[in-house]
Amino acid sequence: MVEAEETPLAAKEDVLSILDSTGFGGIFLIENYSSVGAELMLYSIVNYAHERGLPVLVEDIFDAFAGYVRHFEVMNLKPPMEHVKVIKIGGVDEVGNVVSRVNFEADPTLYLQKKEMAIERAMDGERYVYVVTGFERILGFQRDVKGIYVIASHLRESLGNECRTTFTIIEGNVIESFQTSPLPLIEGVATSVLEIHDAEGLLRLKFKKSILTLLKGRDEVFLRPADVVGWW
Amino acid sequence: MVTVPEILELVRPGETVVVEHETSYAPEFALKLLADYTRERNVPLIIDDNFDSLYTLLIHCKMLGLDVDLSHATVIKIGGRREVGGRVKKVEFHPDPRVLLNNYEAALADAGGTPEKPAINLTLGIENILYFVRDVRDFYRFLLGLQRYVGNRRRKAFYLVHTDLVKSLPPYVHSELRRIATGVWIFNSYPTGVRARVLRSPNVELIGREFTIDVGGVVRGRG
Repeated sequence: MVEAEETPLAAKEDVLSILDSTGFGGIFLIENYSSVGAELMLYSIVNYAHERGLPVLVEDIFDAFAGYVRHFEVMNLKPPMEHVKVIKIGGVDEVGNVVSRVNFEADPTLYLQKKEMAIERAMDGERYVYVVTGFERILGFQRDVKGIYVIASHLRESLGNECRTTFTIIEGNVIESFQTSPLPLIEGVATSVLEIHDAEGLLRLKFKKSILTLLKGRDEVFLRPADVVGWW
Repeated sequence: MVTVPEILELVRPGETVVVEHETSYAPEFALKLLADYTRERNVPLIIDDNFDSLYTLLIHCKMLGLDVDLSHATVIKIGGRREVGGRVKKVEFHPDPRVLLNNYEAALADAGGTPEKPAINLTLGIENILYFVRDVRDFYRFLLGLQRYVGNRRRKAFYLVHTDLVKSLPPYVHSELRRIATGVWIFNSYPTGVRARVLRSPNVELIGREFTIDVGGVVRGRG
């Protein structure tokens, strides 16, 4: 709900403060319903981390990250990648500095254990910007509600882990097409939830929950894609 | 604008109020406001914490810079691992609602609250239990178990329920929950607070009324 005042276009500083607002221990859920919102947010996150001097660890579930990076190439976007490590969860397309590979397991408990070990190894006690791409795919592969529940509980366990500031990018249209959408459960665990929609050539960033809306009294901002591309 | 104590005084002892909300900080705000209210007025506070829901809210509150003091609260913990809040009483989760409710009954027995000074009973994450209730018969066993507490004047109960989560369960769950409740409140959040609409209440004058609870002032962000 926007108050009567006009909603201006977000500047680079606004996007940086959005990304900063999660903090270490927080989980920022980015639900993309737009055309290029996921790519531009990922691009912003990687650049943001680089500017803040923070290393990035990407959990690439079923080549989702690889897909976004391939889009970067055709969009002519060249984010800094030297500070980015990648853990592959399933998938075959190894893009970026792949430091670990975890086979997909039908039993989520097994996959989560192996994944956590891979993360520990990659982070080695350092603070990281942790990015999850393709989360909807791992959720989609669950055969029953219990699998979803196990994944949500695991997410809850990592909440408050001050080694990470977590950004989870989800394709909203995909996840909502599941028979039982796990989104409400995941949203309850997340510290911040942002939806991205197309809005007549702009991207509309709608906060479902965010500390920024409390502090600034506004729950949506608009982004011009060309601006984002020009910031870095 | 009304104050939180004013709204809570409108709820009668023995009531079971289902509070429905969408994805927002409404649960965090509710926790903070109820914690402050009960501590300031010396009212017993009982929190039913299903599967680490309370832990999740407290972490969120910490990140929002919301100071939540639960030292006076009794936490009845069903499932989960993170023991937070004041006096924690563990209740072992059991997939059979009859066993679960029996275990729960024992924990609630000395949790506090009298008909003269009813406790505020905040129930968090009940959807998580409903997730595990896989057939209709077990669901009704569970529901009728909850219904037995309706009218218990030792407490005023508030069940915080995520609307979309309940709607993702079999369709009768939502309707039946509303049916056993004496009150149904719908929370809609706006940037700095919550608008509460009363859909059902034993106090018929309240039906259809809307309250605004603004919390913008108490949030200070992370230090």
